[in-house]
Amino acid sequence: MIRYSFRRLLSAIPVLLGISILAYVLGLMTPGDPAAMALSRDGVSEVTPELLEQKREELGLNDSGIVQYGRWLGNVLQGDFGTSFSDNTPVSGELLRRLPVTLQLTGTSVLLVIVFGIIGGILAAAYAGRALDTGLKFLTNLMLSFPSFWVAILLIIVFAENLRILPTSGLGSFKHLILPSVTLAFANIAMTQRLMRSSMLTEFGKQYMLAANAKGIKKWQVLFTHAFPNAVIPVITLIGNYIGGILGGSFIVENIFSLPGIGSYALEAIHSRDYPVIQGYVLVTGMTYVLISLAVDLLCAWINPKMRLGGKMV
Amino acid sequence: MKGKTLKKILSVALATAMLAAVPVGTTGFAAENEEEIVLGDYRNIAPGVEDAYYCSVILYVWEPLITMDNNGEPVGKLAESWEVSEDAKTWTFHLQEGVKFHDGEDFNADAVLYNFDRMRYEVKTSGFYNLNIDSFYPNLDQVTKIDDYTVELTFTQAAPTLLYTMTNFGSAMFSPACFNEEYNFTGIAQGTGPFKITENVKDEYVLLERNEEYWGEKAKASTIRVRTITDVDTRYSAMKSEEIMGVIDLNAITPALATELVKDEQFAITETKSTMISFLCLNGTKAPFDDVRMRQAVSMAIDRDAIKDTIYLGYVEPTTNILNYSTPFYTEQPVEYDLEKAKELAAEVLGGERVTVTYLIQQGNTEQKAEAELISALLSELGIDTEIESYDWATIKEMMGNGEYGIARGQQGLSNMEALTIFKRFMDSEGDQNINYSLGVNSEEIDSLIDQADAELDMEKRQEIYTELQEISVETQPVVPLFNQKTLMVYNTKLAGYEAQIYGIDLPNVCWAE
Repeated sequence: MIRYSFRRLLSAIPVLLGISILAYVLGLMTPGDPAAMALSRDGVSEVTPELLEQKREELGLNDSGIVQYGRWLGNVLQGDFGTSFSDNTPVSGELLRRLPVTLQLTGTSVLLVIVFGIIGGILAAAYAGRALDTGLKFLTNLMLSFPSFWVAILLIIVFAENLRILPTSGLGSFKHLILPSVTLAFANIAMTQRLMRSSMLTEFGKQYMLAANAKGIKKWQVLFTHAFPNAVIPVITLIGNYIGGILGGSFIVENIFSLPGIGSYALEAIHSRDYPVIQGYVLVTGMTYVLISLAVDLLCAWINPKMRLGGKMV
Repeated sequence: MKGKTLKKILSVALATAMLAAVPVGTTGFAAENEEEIVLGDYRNIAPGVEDAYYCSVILYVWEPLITMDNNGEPVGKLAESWEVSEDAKTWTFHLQEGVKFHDGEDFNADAVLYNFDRMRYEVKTSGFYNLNIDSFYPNLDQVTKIDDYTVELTFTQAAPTLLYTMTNFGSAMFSPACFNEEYNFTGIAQGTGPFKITENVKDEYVLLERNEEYWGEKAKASTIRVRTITDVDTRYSAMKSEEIMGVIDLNAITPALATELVKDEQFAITETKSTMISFLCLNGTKAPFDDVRMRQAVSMAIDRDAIKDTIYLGYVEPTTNILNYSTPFYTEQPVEYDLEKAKELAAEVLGGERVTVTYLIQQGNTEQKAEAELISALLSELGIDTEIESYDWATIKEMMGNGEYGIARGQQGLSNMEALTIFKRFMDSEGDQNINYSLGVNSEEIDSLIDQADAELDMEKRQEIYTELQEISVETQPVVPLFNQKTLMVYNTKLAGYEAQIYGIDLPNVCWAE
């Protein structure tokens, strides 16, 4: 398992290299001058050609794309992510400041997805075709059809504006996390629940279930000890993808709830053509994806030893 | 494995829960003490050590030598009085005595000299105004200390309008102890203002406390917290839920949301002139807008009053003058709306043909989109068909610079109250915005008027030239001005003394109503 993990981590290197090159090329291809954007942040000052030239030189923008990328890569290998073009702050410091916010948001919303998605799915499967199942189906349909910004606005109006029991935005207490987490989890709870349900139903149809039933083992015991470990595997994979997605930043939710996460950082950087920030972001999210997918694979093997790492299912 | 599986799942869930419990930040969502007044802004009004000024002038933390009154006229702040030599090359400033910075350092001529050294060191960028000595003090030669409270500035060329360029951001004074050897802030900015910053958490809030040792009239509120709330709808909700009691920055609330908010008597609007002007740039380097008649036709075809009422709900002021109305040099010019005359002018140029042009607007700006649709409908009557395209500002800027556009929506704030800056930038054949936006303005008459104004020491004569330049801008429409914008703020009527200013609010006067 350790060898397997090591191999997987090594394979991340070409992936990270590839995405960082791609991001750099896309950045250079996009119209817009980073030096001009950095100097005209205030929107009013006159930017003289001399000043612009000086800034271009300072930021190294006069060099060819390959030289710029090479310099950036060299610095990264020495642990230096560079400084932001627009306000000169160190990129790594800013990422480290913002990452806990994103992690916290991810943690709470994944927890909601696990609890409500999995339990809901099991219940729906156990009572398939009955009133509870129909009710949950209706509910998940509804949850899947709401766009997240709309859910956010609705939650703010109800819980902050009218009931005044939760804050509209910002950081601080646990209360501040409730609305953004629910917003992020909303559609994913529904998706997880549906997958869990269908996955459980597939297991119910298998022969070992018939045998277990014939032996007279109690329904809930069969459900939890036999069907669940098999059925939960695809759900874990789905949740893993979902974690990767929110760790990459969910700028809509971050913006609505004024959370300084890494998604909004990247978005601002794109608008101001702030290459070092975009590159730093791409590396961090790329690494996150690799780690999460590794963790998901390890987790699946741990929960269900029938799965063999690096090989096929027995 | 059976029973263990559940345990495993539970332990994963628990681990996730622990991740969620990592504490971040410390704010509660209601004010921590009853005295504290919480206000909202869309951006960090105190961006911190990376910004040339640490925070905006509207927090009243630092003060300038010269500030301006509500008519945009310069008035003394840390400079008590001044004299100017006859050739306008030497300015002598007498400083307020008995003023201390928040850190206890004395404000005196040495502190002023230090701040000038800082400006001379390099251009420092800012989200408010770049700290650039060449734009605040063009042709500055020497800064000399005459005595502890007198400073003399000498210039290589006459600087009759110096007071207008050095207002507010142009003469910000900080304690010399705030900076490192590269003149960058090392911690919280220490100014002389009625408020001092006691805490600043980026992207969350900045906490102001009354400066009990303030040299002038002390602030009324003891504590003010300004929160950063990035989304305008969320700011609206925060006003409704009384998490914030008012908004303080430009564009902190839209006319539509402000109007909605004051339907509830608990809230009120305060407004005044803003230094921002909205306009349409027309690509003057190629047909059809290289013909002045076409630009006039566009201007005349736009029903500015209709746009004002339907899109901006009255919170803009229609104009055809390139100069913003908050500078004292502004003169009122007629705003002509005459569709028939516009059609005639366009027909002369187009000869009955139709043209298609690209119309650039900023991404995600719903007001600009509505405005562009309305204007496009009017322009189609002139024979101009538009293709509205929206991009982010960096892209629009590049397209404009390359002349790859027909019409583009722009806006410009005054960098100072000296009107000549705007004429130079937009109307001079070498003006930076003229070139950046491919406006194609190239008139010897205008260039020589600008040169004349530059050399004119007599303020009345200067004003005459400024008036003439404004008339020319209305006549030839180097850009097609749409509106002078307004500073629009909303507040909860539990507060008193909440009054909009050209930039910001009168913060030291804000207090609880009872």
